[in-house]
Amino acid sequence: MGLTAYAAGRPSALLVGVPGAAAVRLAAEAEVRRLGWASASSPASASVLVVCGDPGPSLAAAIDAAWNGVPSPRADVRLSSPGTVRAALADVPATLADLPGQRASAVTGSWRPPAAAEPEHGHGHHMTGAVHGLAMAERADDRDGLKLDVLHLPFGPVLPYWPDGLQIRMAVQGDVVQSAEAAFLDPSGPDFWDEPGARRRAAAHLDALARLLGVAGWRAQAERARLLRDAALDGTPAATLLPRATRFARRVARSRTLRWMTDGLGVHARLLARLDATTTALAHLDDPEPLPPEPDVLGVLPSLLAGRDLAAARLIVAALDPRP
Amino acid sequence: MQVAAFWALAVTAVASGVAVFRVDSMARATFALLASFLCVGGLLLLLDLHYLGALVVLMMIMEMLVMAVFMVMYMMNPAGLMPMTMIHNGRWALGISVAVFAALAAGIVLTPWPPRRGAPPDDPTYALGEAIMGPKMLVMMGIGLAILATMIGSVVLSTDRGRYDREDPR
Amino acid sequence: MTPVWTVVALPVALGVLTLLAASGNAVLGAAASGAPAPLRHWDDPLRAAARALVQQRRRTFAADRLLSRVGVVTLPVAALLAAVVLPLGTRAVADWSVGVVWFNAMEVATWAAVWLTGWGPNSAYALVGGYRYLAQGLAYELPHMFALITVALGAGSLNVTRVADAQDGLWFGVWMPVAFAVYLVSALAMAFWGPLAHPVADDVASGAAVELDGPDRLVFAVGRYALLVVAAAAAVPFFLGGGAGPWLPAPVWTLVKTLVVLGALLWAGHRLPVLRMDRFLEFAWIVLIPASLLQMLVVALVVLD
Repeated sequence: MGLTAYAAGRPSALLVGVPGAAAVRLAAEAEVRRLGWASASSPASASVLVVCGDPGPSLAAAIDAAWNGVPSPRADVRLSSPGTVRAALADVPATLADLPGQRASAVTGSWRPPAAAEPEHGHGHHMTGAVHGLAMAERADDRDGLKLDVLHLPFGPVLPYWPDGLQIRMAVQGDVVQSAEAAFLDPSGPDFWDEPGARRRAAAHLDALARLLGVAGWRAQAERARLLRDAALDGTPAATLLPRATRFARRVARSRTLRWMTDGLGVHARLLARLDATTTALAHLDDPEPLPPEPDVLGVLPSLLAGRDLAAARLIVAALDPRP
Repeated sequence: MQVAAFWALAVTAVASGVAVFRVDSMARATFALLASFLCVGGLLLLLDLHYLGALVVLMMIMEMLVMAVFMVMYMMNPAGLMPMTMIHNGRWALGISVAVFAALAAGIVLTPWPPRRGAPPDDPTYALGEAIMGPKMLVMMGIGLAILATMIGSVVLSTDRGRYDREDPR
Repeated sequence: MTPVWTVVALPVALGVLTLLAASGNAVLGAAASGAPAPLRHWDDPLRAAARALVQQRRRTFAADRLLSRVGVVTLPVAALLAAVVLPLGTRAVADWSVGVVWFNAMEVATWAAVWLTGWGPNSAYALVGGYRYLAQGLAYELPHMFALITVALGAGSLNVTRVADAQDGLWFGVWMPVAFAVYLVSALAMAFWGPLAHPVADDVASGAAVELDGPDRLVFAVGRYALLVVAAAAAVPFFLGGGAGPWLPAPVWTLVKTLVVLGALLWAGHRLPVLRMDRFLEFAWIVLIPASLLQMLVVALVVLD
């Protein structure tokens, strides 16, 4: 077995969610876990780009930019429904190990830096500079009364533990956010999480918790939240589900390190509230109420992010977890 | 062997010192300077001054990386994207550096160096410790405290809330 | 005179332990996150290495390739150079009189390595990652140095072998618990591992490493695991009596103790969330520095007595 085939046996997958199509992403995440693939955190570390849903034009452009950064041998999987996930991912190792095909696509798919006029998107290259025919970072007043370089940095939509399709454009000085604009790229159709039922509600909270824990750098517990989420949607009986969820909630709520890292931002209180809402929903599984609509968190987000460093800003986004 | 190592380190030190002024990015200039310092650290090791040599390596890396903090603070364009000259005020700078070089070189040549007395100590590290912590102890302690107080004082005076906003009342 | 076998044994041991650490970490990580059949992940690092070796190289726009290459390569080189002063049992490859300072200097070289890796690719996330490592360095380095100085003070020598020999009967880890705890924290920090992995954290898409692909990614990953191994291995002569122990020969004891410390560091990596640098910096300066200074005072009083 050659190196290429050996590497292709368990590739590294970068998942991109599409707003409204959470069902596809959930199926893809479960399949990636079942196959034992690695989960990539950036295009450069990925060998498979898995697009979960049918993106609109601006999200598709961002995904293309990310695809440009994936090194060959690589595979591009576009999923439009949960039913197609297993078959599509099963083909990936063969695609990756197909050297002639990979060579052909590697030549055509060479790296082309985005032009100056093109809006920055994708995953945060700051490719500017008058020198290369592109705009330079500007100067602006810092909060300490200095005049410092300010950088316009797009966060999302291709980013680990990030709400599907969200993009936040931040102006940063050093790693401090000066201002931010948040928007969903091509929000469409009814949201998967809007359907009624306590299971759906608990799963929505667990999905958000997985993102928050992932951003907090606790991959193990983020994965556990995803496992619970899938179990809740699978129809696992409450008698087995509830003790698992309670154990998970207690473990996360008790972590002093997590409290130390997230308090003072309003993040820890939200984390506890979500854990609470999850176990409450799982304790009353016959309750048909849908997830109550979130208040307009997207609108207040920019004011909450200003003055924070990037790490805190990401925690705040994950704690509020805006939905389209 | 030792002679070859000396010349290699000496030439590299001077060459990377020159490179500081020839490259067009702040990062490259900083790390060219660091390379020059590391070669000087290597020269000290060659003189069997192990403690001083290792210390120069240690301190110079830390110092240059602290410079990098300021570099990012003032210029958020990574990878030296904006080529920039490392030389300012060319004519005056040239005059001043030539004069300083001439003065220092003259100092080396004209100083009546005392003839060597005694032999190098068995353990230069120990001798260095004795010198610093023996007769010069008061001076060293005084300087240390003054530097620390200056650093903390300037940071405290320059900002009352730190770099980041905080809601927590700690 | 340096025995020839140590010159061969050191890189081999470091390589094997590095692979073991990567492999063990893959299994531990899978188990901690409740993945099915965690043991099958033992060869994840090998597959990642294979992927890196066959990969096409991509480059970001207007990158400083020289500097990022220098940064990536410095990481494993620093780990190896730091390891030369550590006794493999009773003999070190380089039994230098100032081994403790040398170890410290080589481990500080990772500051340059990670920062250059972050600066080079001209990517904002990478730069933020590199920047975070500097903040982390400013946080852990002083307590770390004080812990090492405390050890040297207790032994009356800067030579690593003599430090190990000085713990005849009573390990420094036992009677200098604060210094040992500070050392373990800084061991995580120097390999930017687990709770101190903020420079390569997921919130900035793996930070300093975000743009690494192909052999660069492989060398960086190898360097990081090697640093973790060296940090664990250094705890043995500094705090755990070196190769001393009943029945078994010194090299075996060194290996066993190293594996225990390494296992603990890997395990801690999956137990805790990542520490944010602004908060950790505050903790380091307000708690760790005074604590390590007090520990040094206590040791100085004991030694003077």
